[in-house]
Amino acid sequence: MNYFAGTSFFGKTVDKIPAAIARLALTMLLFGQPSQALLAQAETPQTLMEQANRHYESGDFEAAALAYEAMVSDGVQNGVLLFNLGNAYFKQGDIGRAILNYERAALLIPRDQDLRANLALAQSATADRYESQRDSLLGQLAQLSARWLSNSELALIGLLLWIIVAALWILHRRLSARQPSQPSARQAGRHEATWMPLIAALVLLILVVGLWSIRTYTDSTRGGAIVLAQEVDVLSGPGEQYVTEFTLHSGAKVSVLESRDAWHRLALPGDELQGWVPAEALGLVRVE
Amino acid sequence: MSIKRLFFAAILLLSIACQPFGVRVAHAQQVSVEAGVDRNSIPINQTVNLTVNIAGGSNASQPSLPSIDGMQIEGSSRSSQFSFNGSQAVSELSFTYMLRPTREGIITIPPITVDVDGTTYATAPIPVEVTPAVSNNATDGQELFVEAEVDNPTPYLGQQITYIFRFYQAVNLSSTPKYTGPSFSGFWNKEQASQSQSNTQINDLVYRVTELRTILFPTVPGEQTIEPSQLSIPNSIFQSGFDLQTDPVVLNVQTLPQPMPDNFSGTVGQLTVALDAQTESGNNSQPLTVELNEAVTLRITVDGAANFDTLQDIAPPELDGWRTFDSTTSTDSRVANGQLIGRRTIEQLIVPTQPGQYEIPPLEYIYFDPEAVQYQTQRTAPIQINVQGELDPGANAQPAPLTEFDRATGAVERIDADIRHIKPAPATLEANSHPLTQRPLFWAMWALPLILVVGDWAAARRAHIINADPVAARRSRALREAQRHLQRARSDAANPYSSCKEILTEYLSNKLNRPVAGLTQHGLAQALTDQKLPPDLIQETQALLALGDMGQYAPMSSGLEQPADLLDGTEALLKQLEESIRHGHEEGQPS
Repeated sequence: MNYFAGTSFFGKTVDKIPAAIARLALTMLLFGQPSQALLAQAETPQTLMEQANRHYESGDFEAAALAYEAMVSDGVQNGVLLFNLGNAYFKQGDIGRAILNYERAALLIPRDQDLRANLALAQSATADRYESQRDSLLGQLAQLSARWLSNSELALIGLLLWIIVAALWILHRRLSARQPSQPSARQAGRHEATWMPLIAALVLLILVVGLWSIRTYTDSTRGGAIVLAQEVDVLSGPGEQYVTEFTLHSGAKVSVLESRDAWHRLALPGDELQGWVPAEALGLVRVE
Repeated sequence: MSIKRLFFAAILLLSIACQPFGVRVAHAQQVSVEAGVDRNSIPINQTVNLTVNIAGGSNASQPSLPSIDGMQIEGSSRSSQFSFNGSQAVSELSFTYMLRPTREGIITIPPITVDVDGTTYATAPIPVEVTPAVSNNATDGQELFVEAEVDNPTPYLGQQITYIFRFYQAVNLSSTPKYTGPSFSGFWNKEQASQSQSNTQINDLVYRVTELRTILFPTVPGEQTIEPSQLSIPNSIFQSGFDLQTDPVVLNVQTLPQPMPDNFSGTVGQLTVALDAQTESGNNSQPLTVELNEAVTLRITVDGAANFDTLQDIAPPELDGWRTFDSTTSTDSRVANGQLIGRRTIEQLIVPTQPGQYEIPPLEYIYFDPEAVQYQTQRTAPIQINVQGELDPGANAQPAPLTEFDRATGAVERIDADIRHIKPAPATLEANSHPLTQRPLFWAMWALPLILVVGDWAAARRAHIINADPVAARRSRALREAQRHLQRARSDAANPYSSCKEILTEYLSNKLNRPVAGLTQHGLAQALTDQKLPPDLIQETQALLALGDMGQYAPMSSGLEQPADLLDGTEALLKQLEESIRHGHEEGQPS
């Protein structure tokens, strides 16, 4: 069964069809007949995920994957959900989609050890091997931070630092305003005590904002993607008439440099190998 | 009737006209079902083989054999084979039934139905002529004949018997005949058939007798019939091939006598049991002396004539103060003088853990001796063992476990790798959720510190401006301070009248930038007029000050306002003064 076409169809379909109808279709697919009870009940995402987990644990990985995808299409953004979805695809042998969902989960739960282990195992099963080039210092910092902090966590830390900086600034100004022209040692010390944490917080804030900016910029200009097709020829242009420059296989991680019509321009680390592939051959990592 | 069945019936009719020996064919596409007999005329004391062949198809049922009037089924067998017809593999099933006639005359075998791949096929009836009995006895002058018997037609259940097949030939044969023995259903067949040849003379003919012996152990009580053995004489230039068949052999298998002993082993035969203990050095003297922790091999031996394949093992005795290990068993059997004899040996390693005197108790083995027609009990002699040595005082009462085998140690190695299991559903799952950076509240929170910083700067800036002009500062703070005093007066003023006067006086002083307390009524009116205050407001101010004086010095006077009303009126007056003074300043009046 070609999940490749099925997943893109499902993802695009749910953009246009209400989630309830998509769930109805999933129910019919799984149980063969409309389940009015599912529509009538107020199902929570937790119960839906528990149902999907039961499918997985009973060995019905296909049904589990469909159920997880339905939740993702409903807008449930959760690292555990994406982790389980990746597992369901891995069990079906779809390494590409497994890695794609693991990478998406890593954006949300980057410190999860199980996720790292499964992603490493799935990557070891990919057919393509290429050397990753060393990025700039800031790029390396951004990558390192991505292993420990999600975008939301980084933004939250930035906000907290910003609040701390503002509070320290106000405190510093208040102390400065009250300080006499010839302050005592105690007064001078109290005034100095606000400088160091203020500068430290400011530096951290700049660093965090810088990391977050780099990651955001990188995602927008060189978004990560995973090859979903079992095998795809990378062409020199956005069309079948162009020359095949190299071939990639399911699970390969690439950067998307450009998108045009139904084609993506991708690059391997180092940008030496670049080319165009059909859009449906890739799955974008960034969670919208 | 469906078209399909009509077609089959038409084919069947055509086939009946063409086949001579009752072989009927039922066709359905690639499936072929045939039934036939090996002889269409047999003596009543002989048997005929009915064979049903099924060729083709993938799932054929057992043929449904109808009741045959005048014949009884003696036995059945089944065989299958695969063959290739061009590039196609064709399977063939054959079911063979041995039929024995019970009356003379023409006996018709009814149609036999078979289900193949969901379709039912039926053979046509097969007539067989049953003639009077013929004898295989040599007194008839036959040059070739066979016979079968058992050495004991009334054995006990489990007792060894011998099935004897003899082939008498008074003429030489150009090729070796083929023997087909019975299935021996109901018997444990040792399959150690021995052959011997001898000569004998019967009447005027000298026969070479070939004898085949098969050792059997009856497993089912009651009347048992061993079906006939068959000897196939092959074709030669002198004669066509034919079969010789013995008569069936009927036995009456007796059940073992009752009552049966409680510990009866189930073995029938003649047996002896022995128990032996021996050290690793080969010492088995009695009493046996060993050192503490010295291994001893306990050996149980069962010798005799019985079915050693089904012989029940003798369990070694349980020993206190000894460590025991799993026992090993070996069996050796052979046929001697037409009888199956053998030896079963059970060995067990035991190790003493405590010094002292031990006695390995006798072992008891009960079997049934069919010759003596009674249950016999074999009992071994006890074995005395003297364990010498002393326990290590520092050792535990329980000695350290003896290593039975080398345990290999080494690093744990991964055998296989798989992904880690899925996680349970988290408690917080929301549909249509958005990441933090896409929520408006998050960005609003970023503005908050900025607002605070800007607000703090604005406040500091204002304070700086005010501090640079004390007069203006006083003027700007006048109403706020007056209201603060009023609030305090509401709660704990001892004399609200004097408080209101003081508050109003201080306010006017701050606003006019001059002390007001010492002003006369006229002077106050003039000062307020300079501020371009309306006359009624000036009068109201003077009235409130007078009221304050009255309340201060004659608080018990009648006509005084209630304190709460006074305070409210004072606050209202202050606001009016503030508004009017500001309005006057905006019109450019001197401060």
